[in-house]
Amino acid sequence: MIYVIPAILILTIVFSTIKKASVYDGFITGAKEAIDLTVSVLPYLIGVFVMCEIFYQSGLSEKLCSLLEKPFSILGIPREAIELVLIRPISGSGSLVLTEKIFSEHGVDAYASRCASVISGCSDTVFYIVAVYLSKSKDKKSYGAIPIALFSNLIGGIFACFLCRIL
Amino acid sequence: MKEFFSHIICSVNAVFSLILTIGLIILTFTAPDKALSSLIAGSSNAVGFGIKLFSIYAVWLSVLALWRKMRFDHFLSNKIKPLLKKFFPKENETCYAHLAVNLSANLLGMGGAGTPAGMSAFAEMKERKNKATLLVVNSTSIQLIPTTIVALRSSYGATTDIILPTLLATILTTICGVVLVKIFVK
Repeated sequence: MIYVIPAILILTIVFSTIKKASVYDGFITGAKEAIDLTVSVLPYLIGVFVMCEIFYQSGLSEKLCSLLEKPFSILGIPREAIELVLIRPISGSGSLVLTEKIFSEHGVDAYASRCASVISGCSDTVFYIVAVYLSKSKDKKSYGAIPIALFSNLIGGIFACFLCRIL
Repeated sequence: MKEFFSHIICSVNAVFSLILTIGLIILTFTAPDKALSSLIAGSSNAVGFGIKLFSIYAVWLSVLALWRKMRFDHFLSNKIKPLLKKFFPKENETCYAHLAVNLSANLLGMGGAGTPAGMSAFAEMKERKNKATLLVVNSTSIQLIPTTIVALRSSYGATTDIILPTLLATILTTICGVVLVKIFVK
């Protein structure tokens, strides 16, 4: 799997050269487009990250965790992974840090660590993705995608913990 | 009234206002000095992340620009046209080309290439249902192998495998999301 990306890159350059397209010009065009894209995305990123920071710093995430501990344990999600289920939709880097913390505290092959791995892998940063995608659209509507994606990721998380128990 | 509630539930604005209000109220009582500093810290994190994103976009948009020149995106979309037409009916060729790049990049774990292509596809889309499907598919992860997590686990010397359970769980999240969009988005 680690060879896929280098292979794709090499093939892209080779085929461009065969088709007589300038690889250098392509790269410059891409970098130029990246400037516009980043500028249009940045305000939305600030929104998501500010929300994230307040969520952490106010202790709201901790409070929510202890509130959800009972219902989540009935669903089979271990205590350590609850915070991850909450953080995963709002911060990709935050959830990676949390996963690493669970690994180093419990050992990477422990049940909680396996659950954390699968939860991180089977869902994505809903709020960031929706915010970024909407930044370029005209009507800025998500058509209910946020609650649907959050619910699906929760179902996936519960299923993930179940799989970790039986596999 | 019903419209008002559906607007409240479905918008980013609602979540944003709710978390900010509750968070700031808590902070006012527990650590009032942190209220402003966490807002600024959040914004500064975003700028740092934005610079990282810029470098990722710069590389992948270059590759995408070359693909466009070779019409590789159209080639890709022709290969999976039936599948695209089934899940995203009634869209135009350009949209399908962007979609093909977005979905295949996500499957292979090249998220950096997927995002700009997905945004172009989203801007090009006409149908509400398709827009919701695209957002849900992208935010429920369709990556075949969770490369980041696998790398992290092997750096901790993992002996157990999580690739299979992750694949099964991610298939479930995506199917669940697509089905819910089919039922609820009108």
